[in-house]
Amino acid sequence: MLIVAFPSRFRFFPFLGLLLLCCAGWTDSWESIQVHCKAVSAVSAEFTQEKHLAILQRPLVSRGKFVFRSPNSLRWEYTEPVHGILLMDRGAPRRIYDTGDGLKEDDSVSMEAMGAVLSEISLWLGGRFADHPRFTAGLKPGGEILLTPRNEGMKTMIRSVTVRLSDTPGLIQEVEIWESPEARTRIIFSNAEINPNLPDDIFRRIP
Amino acid sequence: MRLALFSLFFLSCTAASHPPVLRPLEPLDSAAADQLRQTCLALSGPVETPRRLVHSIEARLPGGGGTVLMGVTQADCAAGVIRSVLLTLEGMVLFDGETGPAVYNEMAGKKDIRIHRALPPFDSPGLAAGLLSDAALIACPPHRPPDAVGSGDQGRHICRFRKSRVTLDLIPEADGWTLREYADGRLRRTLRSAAGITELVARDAGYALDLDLISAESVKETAP
Repeated sequence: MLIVAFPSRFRFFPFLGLLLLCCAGWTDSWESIQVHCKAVSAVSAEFTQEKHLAILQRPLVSRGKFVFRSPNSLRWEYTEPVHGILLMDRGAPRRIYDTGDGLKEDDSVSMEAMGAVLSEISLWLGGRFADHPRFTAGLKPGGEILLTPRNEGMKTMIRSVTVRLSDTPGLIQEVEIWESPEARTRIIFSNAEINPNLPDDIFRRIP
Repeated sequence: MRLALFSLFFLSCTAASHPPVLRPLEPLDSAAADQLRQTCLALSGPVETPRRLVHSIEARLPGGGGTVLMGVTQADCAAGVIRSVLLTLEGMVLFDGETGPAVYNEMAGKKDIRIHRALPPFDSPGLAAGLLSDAALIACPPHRPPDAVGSGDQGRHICRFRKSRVTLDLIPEADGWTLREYADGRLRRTLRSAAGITELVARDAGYALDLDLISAESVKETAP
């Protein structure tokens, strides 16, 4: 309920992380997705984020690095145009940003909202898109998953999410989040690595 | 928790109980006044319009907290039309609003404001008006001969612009400029620009924004 009630910026990330983690394998059925999910415990990738708005002639482009480890550790780091990091180490979230005068803690983070998000992780980890309480899911030929919020409150923030699977088993190619007909966020993953050797402090380390 | 922070951020009044008030200017000699007029005109423009600005925005909250956002402002200063979009680094649009002579929206409850999208707590009409006023001040500094010039506090030279109940004082400085906005004679906002960084302090709302310009471009084919 809290997730629906407040537009936490972090809501996307465990969600996306789990998508990247869970779609481990080229699939054409929910059962196959779930089977492949079990083989993947961590993933890292670079990402390019395009923000498309009606008033923009060209999208706003951000880039960074993404690391996720099951069950609930995440490093989502923007390197440009603004340096900002979302860190989540076994569920304890932090957000740090750099405006040129050094790194600062973002204390507008809602820990309650993050906790609520994390409570959903087990569903995504199991690859159980089809029985998720907040989204209805459709699996299309060619490895495209369409997620639609069940809740009207959620629909005011996100109309739909499209996940396009990569040709490489265990990876997704991109995620597209539609907030409205005029606003969408496209995140394209590249150089992804499944089950990488991750340093212990990667989910805590601040540059 | 977060709702409370944002409420404080945008809506609460600060402990600054009596903001500075607008004071009369002391006259300058003719040569100094002419030079000041030229300096102010050069500082404030000409603004290419319509144009689109993209900023990263560090918002400093009352009590020392902060967050970072992205801002997109599309401004047609000549037409008085401003559209402002605030989004998180992750791309989520928190606020998308427009102001100008030709728009009206019942949701906003105020003439000249249209809200395209506003997630709580950005859906308050008062907040929308404040955000759009911020954007207008940033994107459309006064570019015309000042209504008055003179010497103000601490002997600083000031170009004064008046429009209805709002007065703008443009103060040239060694490394940039400061623009003070008064409403009904009380200081409401201060905008300072130096070395490519713009800082906006909304005195009555108790927040400050540090804006770093990422891009600026003219808008040729689309209106806001």
